[in-house]
Amino acid sequence: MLQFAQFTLIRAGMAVFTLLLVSLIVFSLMELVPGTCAERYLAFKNTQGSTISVQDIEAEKARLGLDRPFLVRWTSWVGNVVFKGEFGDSCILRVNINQLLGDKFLVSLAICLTSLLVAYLIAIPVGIISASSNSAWLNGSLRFVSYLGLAMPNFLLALMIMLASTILFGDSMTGLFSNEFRDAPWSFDKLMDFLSRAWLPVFILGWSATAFALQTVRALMLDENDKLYVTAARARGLYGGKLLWRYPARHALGPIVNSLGFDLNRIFNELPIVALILTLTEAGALLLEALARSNDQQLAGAIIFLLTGTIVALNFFTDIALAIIDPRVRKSVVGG
Amino acid sequence: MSVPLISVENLTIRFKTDEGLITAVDNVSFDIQPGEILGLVGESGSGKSVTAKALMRLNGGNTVYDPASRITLNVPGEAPIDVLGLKRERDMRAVRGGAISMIFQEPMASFAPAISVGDQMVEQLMLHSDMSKKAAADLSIEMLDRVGIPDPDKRFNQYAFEFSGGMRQRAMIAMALSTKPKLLIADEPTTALDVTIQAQVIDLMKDLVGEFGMGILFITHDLGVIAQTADRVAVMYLGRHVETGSVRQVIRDPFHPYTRGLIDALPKLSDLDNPLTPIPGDIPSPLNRPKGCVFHTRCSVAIGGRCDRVVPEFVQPGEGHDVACHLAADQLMQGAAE
Amino acid sequence: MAIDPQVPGTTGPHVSIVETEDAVERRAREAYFTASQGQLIWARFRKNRSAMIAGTVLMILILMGVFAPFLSPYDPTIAGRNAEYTNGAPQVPMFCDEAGCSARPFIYGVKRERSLATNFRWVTTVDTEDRRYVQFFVQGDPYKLFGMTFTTKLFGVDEGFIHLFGTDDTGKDIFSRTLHAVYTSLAVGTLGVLISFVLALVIGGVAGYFGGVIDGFLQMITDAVRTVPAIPLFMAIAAFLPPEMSSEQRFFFISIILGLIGWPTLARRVRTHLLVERNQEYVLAAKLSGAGPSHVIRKHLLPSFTSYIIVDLVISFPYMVLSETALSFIGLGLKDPVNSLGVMLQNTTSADVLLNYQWYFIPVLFFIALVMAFVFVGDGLRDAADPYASTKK
Repeated sequence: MLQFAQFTLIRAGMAVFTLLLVSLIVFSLMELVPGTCAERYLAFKNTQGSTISVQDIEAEKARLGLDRPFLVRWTSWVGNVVFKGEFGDSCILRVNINQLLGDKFLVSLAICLTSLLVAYLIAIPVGIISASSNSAWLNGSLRFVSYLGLAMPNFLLALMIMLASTILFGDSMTGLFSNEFRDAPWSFDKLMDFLSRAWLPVFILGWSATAFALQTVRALMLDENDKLYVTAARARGLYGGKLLWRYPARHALGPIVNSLGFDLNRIFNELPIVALILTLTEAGALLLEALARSNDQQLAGAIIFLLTGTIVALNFFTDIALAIIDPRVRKSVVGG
Repeated sequence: MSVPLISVENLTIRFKTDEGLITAVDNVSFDIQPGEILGLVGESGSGKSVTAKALMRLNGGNTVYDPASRITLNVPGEAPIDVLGLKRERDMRAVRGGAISMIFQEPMASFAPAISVGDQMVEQLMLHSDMSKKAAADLSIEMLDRVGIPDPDKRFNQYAFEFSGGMRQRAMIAMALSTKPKLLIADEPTTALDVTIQAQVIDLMKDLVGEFGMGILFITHDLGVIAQTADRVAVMYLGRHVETGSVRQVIRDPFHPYTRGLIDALPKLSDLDNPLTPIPGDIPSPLNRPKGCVFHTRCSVAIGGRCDRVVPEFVQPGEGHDVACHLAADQLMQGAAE
Repeated sequence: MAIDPQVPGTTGPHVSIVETEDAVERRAREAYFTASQGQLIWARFRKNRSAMIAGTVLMILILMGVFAPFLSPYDPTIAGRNAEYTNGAPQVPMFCDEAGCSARPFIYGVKRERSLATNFRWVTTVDTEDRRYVQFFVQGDPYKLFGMTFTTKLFGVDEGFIHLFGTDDTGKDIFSRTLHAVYTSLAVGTLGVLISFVLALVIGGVAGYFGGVIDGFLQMITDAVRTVPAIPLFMAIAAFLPPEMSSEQRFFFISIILGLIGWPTLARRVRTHLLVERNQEYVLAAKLSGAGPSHVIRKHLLPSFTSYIIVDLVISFPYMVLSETALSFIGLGLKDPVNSLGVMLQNTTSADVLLNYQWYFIPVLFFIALVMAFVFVGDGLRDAADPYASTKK
């Protein structure tokens, strides 16, 4: 047990290190933007009619602490994020980022994680069956569907669905909430309304995630199927479903769990694009807005950091889960 | 002669591949009697593993068995089983792990890495008998003890990666024998082990065979191991069966030039100054099987115009000794004429 | 029949060597056994029907892209627009109509008018009396191909314009735009793949060859980079492009971004392979003969898996094209005067297009065909390069 705690600690340490590295990358990128936050804001004010002098900019810089060296600013940013959970103020909107993101981030996360779950609920049984089936027809068509999932990117699928629903229902099915609930506080009705609309982004995000997961599961299963221990189990008289689940499927589980982090990463990649089309009002859309419209570096940095943080956390948990389900890892960790 | 435990007749196995149909085993026949150890010898690629796997129908989905092939399993007191006639995996259970058990070359790879050794043993026992889980576990621990694994209670719950090489193979033997099979197929069971461990494992197998009274098909490329272990020997070359006989006949008095070559290639402890004579050339690819006698491309005494054209028939230089060689046939004819 | 060409007309009887069927077969087999790795891969690839079809489609698309200026009847930019026919439907050449048949395909001319009868809106009508015949090798706007200037286009009509795929809202020919877009997307992808390839080779090569601490450190960096969702991150970078950037600069910048997206996966594979190969004896032999690290990597290790690298490159190509499309689609990649598939896709998003101008979706089919072709070819190549992967049922 002591060793397990030690293993968890080491993994946690590695996760924190990765996060720090990522935060440095993100922060540096934010810094590379031509123009600082102060200049940007004041330039914006300028267009609103107020006249701004160089002194004003300097004063604003000092107020925001932008005159301090790079490393100091990075440390204080990371410190605020980690210890206080504070991302600071948005550059343009002048609103606290935590407030701005509010539950939007959680909504995005819920949508993405559900897509991931749906993808694997479909991919695991189908992948296992197709890997152990000899049917050329089944394998050929699954292959085609997988490729289509790749070649028909999510935004295209979203467009098609919008086209269809506009023609059929006269409603383009966009947005996450009906008008009446958009700004209402969370309630049971709002939740139901959300669920009645959230299936579409989940479906669209899950579409290519399923295609990828299917390929992963199939390849892993084929790998395991070829191993001698499966032949040996067959030689002992095992067959059919029992052989499949207990031997190759069970042993392919580890790498599948390991790949979850990368799958979530891929879904996050698609999120802003799908959000754009479906005019969703969650973090992906906010990121898009932050970047495309206003170059709001603070907000963009915060969102990217949060997304990455989620992946790092997921990777951390899958590592721990792997140590629990796979005796090879467990024994090397716990000993004995 | 009593009813053989298993009889293999005209076994021909081909594999469908991208490069076409490849013949891996060509018209091989042999019998194994109860309590007999048959050694199957040949270089890698001679088709011996494919032959062994055919007995349990373990070859992959691209395998084609020739319609003339027949494998019959006679378990005393039960109806004979036509192994190649079995259609469903469910029916093969009687053969796989029931009447026949198999030990593989790599003990590490033949245990599932994430399932404990004990679980795999219990699972097999429960599949082939109506034992309770408790009884199956007790028997498994007893078997582990029998093959000389110390602390069998503890080892029972461990995983294959926690065992040493020799211990894994012994555990494999314990698992294979726990269902009391009538035939044990040992596919190069000692190749991956150290020499000292090899001797230990071979002794263990011989002891257990005597005790259980079963037949063994012992596959190896090592004639030395065969000489110690087997009662009879079958030599294979490139999927073709070239010589069979008792160990004495084949090793003392080999007739086929290939068998002779294998024996000459072994170092002799009694005469270390005698140079080794390896068989010239390499085993041809199965894609490129020679016509006539498959060995003629490497044979130093091949008869031009005959060995490369005509497939040799089996001749019998002695009781129970079969050789497929034109030269041996000529010699026997001469002997008979004189 | 084969006569040795080296000794013609020498004294002595000519002996013609008749090859038996056996020998021919044997030679074919010998050719198989002595074939180089490239030949073997090609031989296996050829047997994969879907990959061969995809390969043909891919070749056609690439040729279409490269010869886009010749194949497309008009300039894809605003310079080549047909102001008379905006948001025009595709014009399909035909051989027959009610007035009879013609050996030369023709299309109808169109008229645009605005009058009281049409509520003063521009209305386009097809004039079935006005046949316009399709001509081949016509003179058109000058264009550059392989550094030379040409004016001959593959086809055109004798009078007015021909728009096979219709036109967009400014009257630009969608057929011409699509061909140029295929070219741009391929070019962006190629550049992106090359950049990620060089990065992967350097980083993965160093990590795999030296191993130990250097490997650990580089792996940590690679893993950290792999955790960041690439599209949001590069959206962030792309957002900082000054809007006044020229389209060429933008093109290069997007390629570089794509290259930066792609390297970690490839680097990992290079590293794994090198870790295995560097302990092989031929590497030791080279080292003992005094070869330095860069010599060993370049002359011994990399050639040992060139074919795998090529396969990896083909496999990563569709992801490049997809990423370009995604970035352009959200308005952060290439922008409208440039024709890329992403830009073409972006044009399809408005409700007006969805409901009224469905021919905007024709480039989408090209996009799907391009990506699918690449994926199938990549898969076929991978199976061909790794025969053991394909024998798995």
